[in-house]
Amino acid sequence: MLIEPEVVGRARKGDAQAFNQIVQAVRKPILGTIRRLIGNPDDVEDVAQEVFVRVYYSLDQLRSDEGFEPWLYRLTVNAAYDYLRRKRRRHESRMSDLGEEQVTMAEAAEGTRLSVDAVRKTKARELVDSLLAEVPEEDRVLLLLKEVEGLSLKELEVIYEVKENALKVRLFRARQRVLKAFAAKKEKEGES
Amino acid sequence: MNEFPEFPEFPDDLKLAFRQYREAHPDPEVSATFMPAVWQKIEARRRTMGSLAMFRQLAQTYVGFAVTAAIVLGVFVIPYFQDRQHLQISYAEVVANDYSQQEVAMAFTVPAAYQAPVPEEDPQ
Repeated sequence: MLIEPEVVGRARKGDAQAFNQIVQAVRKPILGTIRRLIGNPDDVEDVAQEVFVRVYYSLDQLRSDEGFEPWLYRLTVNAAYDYLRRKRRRHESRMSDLGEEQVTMAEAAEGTRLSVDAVRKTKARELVDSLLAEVPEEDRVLLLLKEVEGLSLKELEVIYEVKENALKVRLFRARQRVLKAFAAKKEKEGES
Repeated sequence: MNEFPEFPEFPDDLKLAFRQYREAHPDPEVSATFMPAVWQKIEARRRTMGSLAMFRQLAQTYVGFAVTAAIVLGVFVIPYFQDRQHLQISYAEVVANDYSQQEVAMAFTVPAAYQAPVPEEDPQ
């Protein structure tokens, strides 16, 4: 446990120093999680700051001091979702503002940038990124939390506020999609 | 141990890829301006929330005032002016409202004693 419940209790009562202590203790792993969830290093600090602002103003809604960390994860995941939704909307509106020729040019430029990035990425990163691109955004986040962040099913239940069975179904579908994409990728590699 | 025994297991190379993915994205270093920026955002939100609270207070005051005014108008002012309307009607209308038609007819009937005599007809 990164945070003592007593510190959380003091922060809930409005102790700014206790709040600072919480941020200092968890900011690095939270930034790491956000980095892996949103995939854009430039916006990681902005999203993390938004998480801590939400923590500050929602501490009175926390049911128990002991439940702080899963609750913090929930705020983090929600902030990451909000960011991804905003990003998608911005991307869509930018694309809708352009003409057909401009869209083709923009996509080509994006492709070039991605391929430059891809060169620098390790093989594992390329593989996981490509597999996760095959699943919907919500499943991608769920899989990252389970497989990469290593959260347990119990922790995921708290974060998503759903029953275990519902969570298992979602995970099952997400895993199946990844496995299907993985098999297709292997087959393609075998052919070439 | 597999948490989902009924689920398809990820093959070893995929498991390894996920582990490497985690290692390839280590927790980033935090900039020196991170904490001051958090407090700045907290203060900015506090100001926004303060303005919103003031606006809400103002709106509630106006709504309260409007409800009170509506009650005063409905209970006191409108009935008062409705009562005054009878002062603006004519004497004949007031009488008509207060007495039955028969009584009105009687009130306006001139007794025979006060009627002008009818000239007698010349027998010739």
